[in-house]
Amino acid sequence: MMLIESSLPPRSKPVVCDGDLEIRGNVEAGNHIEAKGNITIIGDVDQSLVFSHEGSIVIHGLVTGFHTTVVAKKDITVNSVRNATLRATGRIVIQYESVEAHLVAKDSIFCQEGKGALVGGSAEAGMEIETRTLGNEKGMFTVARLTNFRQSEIFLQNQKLAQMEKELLAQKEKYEKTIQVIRILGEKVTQLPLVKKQELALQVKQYQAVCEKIAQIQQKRKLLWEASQNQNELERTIIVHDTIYENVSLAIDNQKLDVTSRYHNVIVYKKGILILGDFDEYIKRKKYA
Amino acid sequence: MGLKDKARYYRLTLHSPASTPQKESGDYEKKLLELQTILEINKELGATLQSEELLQILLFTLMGQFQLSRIAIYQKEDTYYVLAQQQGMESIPAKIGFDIEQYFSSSVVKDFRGEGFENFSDSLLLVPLASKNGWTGFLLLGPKGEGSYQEEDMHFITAVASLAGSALENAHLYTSLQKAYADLDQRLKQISALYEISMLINSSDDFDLITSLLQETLATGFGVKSSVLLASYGERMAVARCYGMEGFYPQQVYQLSPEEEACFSDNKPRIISASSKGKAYIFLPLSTVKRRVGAMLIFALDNGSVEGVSEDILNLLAIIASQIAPPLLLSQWIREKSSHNPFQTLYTLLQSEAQKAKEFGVGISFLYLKLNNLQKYREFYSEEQTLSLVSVFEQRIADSLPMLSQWIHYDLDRFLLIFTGVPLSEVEGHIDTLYSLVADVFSHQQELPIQLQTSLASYPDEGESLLPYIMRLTTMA
Repeated sequence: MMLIESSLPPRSKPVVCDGDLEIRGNVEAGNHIEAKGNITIIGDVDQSLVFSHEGSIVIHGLVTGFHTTVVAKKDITVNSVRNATLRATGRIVIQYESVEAHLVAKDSIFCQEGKGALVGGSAEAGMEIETRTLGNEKGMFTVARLTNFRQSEIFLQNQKLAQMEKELLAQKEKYEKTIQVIRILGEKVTQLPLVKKQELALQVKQYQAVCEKIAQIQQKRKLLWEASQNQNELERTIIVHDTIYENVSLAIDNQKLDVTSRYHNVIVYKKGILILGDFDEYIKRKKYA
Repeated sequence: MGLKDKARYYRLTLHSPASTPQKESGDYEKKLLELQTILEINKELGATLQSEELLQILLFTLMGQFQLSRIAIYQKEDTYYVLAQQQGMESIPAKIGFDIEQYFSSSVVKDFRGEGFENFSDSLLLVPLASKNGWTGFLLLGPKGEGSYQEEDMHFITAVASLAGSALENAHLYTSLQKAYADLDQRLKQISALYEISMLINSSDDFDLITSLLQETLATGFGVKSSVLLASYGERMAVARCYGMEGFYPQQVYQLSPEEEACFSDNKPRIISASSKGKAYIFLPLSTVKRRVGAMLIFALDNGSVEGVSEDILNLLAIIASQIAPPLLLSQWIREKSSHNPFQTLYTLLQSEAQKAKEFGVGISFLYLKLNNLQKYREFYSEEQTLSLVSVFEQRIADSLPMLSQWIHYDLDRFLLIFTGVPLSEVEGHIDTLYSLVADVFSHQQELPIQLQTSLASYPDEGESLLPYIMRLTTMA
């Protein structure tokens, strides 16, 4: 593990580390921090890039600045965030509040401790957003969105396979037609020179190989389709334990709901349409169901 | 009773008068017996239409009849008489010219010692096998086993030769008929095969597949070893595909010679003699509805050069050409349309992408790019250099954004990148990559820095209609 005992002054030399990294101090403006493993910063981060290729990032202080980007392969935990962008493949946990920040987590975003406020900017998660308050008294425009990242991944994999299948089917059609030509000219084939016969035999072999590949791809696509169906059945929710204020835009996948009045203790989920319901009632229903 | 037994029986009765009562019945009975034997021989000869079998019957009949140890049968073939059967005459020539006929009358010739037959004994006979159309062959008979040939033997031999001549003529006619039938059958099979292939080719609209099937048909069906397929591009011809032929490459422009032009005038294949291309080749014009589609140049066949190719093969090639030209033209049109008018298909493409996305419950992200200053590049540097840099940029985009579904390049400096099923936030994360790409690709042109302008849109968040998403590409300032 690489340890930096002090704060990083503005525009220092980029810090690049092969393992874990811990900085016991602030990261001042204009810095570039990159580590393969986990990154822990016991301090604030201002106008800098923090990037963990394979691990998580924990920042005990305030992450601030429009030019600040924190990207982690796993989770990101910060005390507070203001104006910055956080991107995590896992979860984002805000320990106090998020103001005018741009949060993207492929799994979930949690903001329940401290002030527990998501105010302004946008919060986009794959599975769940759970917060104490969303928006604020002044009606600052805030977006909370659930995007099915996993479904998108499945879709892209499926598209790749579909493209491969299309190419293989075109190859198969070519081989099939060539083989049909050979069959039609059957009598002639016996009189062909050995090299040509070998070439034809190779084509038949390649045809069989292509057929096998197509069968494999179709099987993979079937599995992906099943995974996609399972993914659709998962219930993904936005939970606001205290208050959801006016001028908040809620979205789950392609369905949107603009909040025009205050609600308390609500859950938002999708059942064909977007439903905004009482959280306690919802839990009760779930319990008795 | 078999023919040989019959012949043996006849010989015994004819030449052992003391042991049979027929001796006393006189010439009348002898004549009757001779006629009966000839009738039996005629029956045997009439029982088959195979030349080979007939010759065998004739050979054994005469051998048995006269106890011959030396006999030969020649048959007419083209301009020669060819040795068809022989016993004990190993040294005689295998074929003799037609002029032999003029030295002999159409009857039996005794003591024949013609050219090539000098070493034969005095009693050698030459017997023509004649039909109403003249000689069909002739027999050479060695000395009899016992005694010499008598008048009655000569009559007998003449009668058998006459019957054999007609039978051989019939057999020849039958054989030619069979050959004609076989040829016809073969031709029918070839034409049926070509019909099936043309149906198969007609079922595709892929230019490459059609040309590949055509090549396969020619290589497998006609033994074509090297060929070049030309495709017509407006007024000019260019090489579309080469097979086993060096010196030609795809897209190479091809200038038609006057002789080749003539093939298009009557739409017939021709053998073009050796000229600038070094060797003779078959020129097969491909045209339909008076429109030139292309041409096929065939340089070599498995069984030799193209110079000896028969009229039949040329006709079959003409049939192929007439069948292949329409689908080839259609596939050419389809290819031209799809490669030269990408905008025409863009809307359809977006619709299909939107359909796929909807089915899967995902959206589409659009990323618009504009390379500011690029228009000035053309004036400052050159058109060629600008296009080359743009081409590098396009390739780099495709390499660094694997989740990119489709993209369109418009008006030199604008690009629309279409990410089906990719959330907008993910695409946003890649904008930095594009900035570095621009900096990298255009870095050495310091005098005219290129600035990247980007804009994002998310479907269906910004409306279900797809047209505004396309319009945005042209309206970027």
